[in-house]
Amino acid sequence: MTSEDLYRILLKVYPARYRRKYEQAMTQCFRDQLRAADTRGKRVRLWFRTIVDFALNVPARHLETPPRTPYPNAYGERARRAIYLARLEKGPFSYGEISLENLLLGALRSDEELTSALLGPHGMETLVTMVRAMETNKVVPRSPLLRWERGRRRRGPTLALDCKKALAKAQQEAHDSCTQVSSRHILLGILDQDTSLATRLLRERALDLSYLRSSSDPDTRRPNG
Amino acid sequence: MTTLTPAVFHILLALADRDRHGYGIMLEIAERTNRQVQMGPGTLYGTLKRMLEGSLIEECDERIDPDLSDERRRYYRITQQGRRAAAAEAERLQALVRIARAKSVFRAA
Repeated sequence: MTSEDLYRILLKVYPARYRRKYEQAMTQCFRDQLRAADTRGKRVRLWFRTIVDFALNVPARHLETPPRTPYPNAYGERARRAIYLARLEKGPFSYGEISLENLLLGALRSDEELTSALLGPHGMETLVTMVRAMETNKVVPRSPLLRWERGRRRRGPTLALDCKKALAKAQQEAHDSCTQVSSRHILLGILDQDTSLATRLLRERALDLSYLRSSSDPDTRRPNG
Repeated sequence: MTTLTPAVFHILLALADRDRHGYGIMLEIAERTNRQVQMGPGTLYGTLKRMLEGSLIEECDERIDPDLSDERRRYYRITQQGRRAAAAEAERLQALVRIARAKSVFRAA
């Protein structure tokens, strides 16, 4: 058994949720450390540090509560609805992840007043047609025999990485304006992403950032209020 | 003002000049501190997780680091909020050093 095999076995003591996200990266990191430890003495010291690392961190990871937003009521009603609608756009039992385009449609659907101000009376329909056409052209992974894929199917779609980034940016915008996250903050978050189709669609419609920042969502309030 | 833990501050400093992957962060911290601070993968990824949840950093793309191996690695980037937190912590530490100087602590050491 190699040192890396032993490390992989030791990683099983971390909580499953944490392992799902970081197991591969931690193993890769340990492998890099092993590569750098080119003498027996260095390898012994590495193992000693690794055992201490486990002793300090495993209990801490088990004691952590499940991931939450920085404060529980960080999202206003429309922002929560936007995410719910994005999930519906994807389909609750579909494969793959909720894309930025799904989030864009969710955000626009959750705030009709904002949508008509930004896109005009028929703008939404055009946007939906364009996004749906793009979605149907996407290649969706289908390998239902794999266990992890079945697990994903049971849990429903998760947020894609660029969606998470957009929501993080939305939280930052809301934090800067001292309010809950609104669907307008989510649009700002989407606009902040560089390469996505959703961002391009918004930019082509010459969305005014200052309008999004200055107009307030009446449903939001201070997070701790 | 919130005080950052040493691990969080070290990681923010490591990411201040460019995006890095996990092992790159470990190397930078070890080199910068003359190997006095050597984070293990458990401490590093536990701290990165908390920093991601607090929006101090964000995940970038996965790519290969040609200096290491042909494995793809997840890179991390400091956010504006992270920069603000690091600047506030640096100012806090600077103020402490000023106090230490005024009380001649350095001369005694």
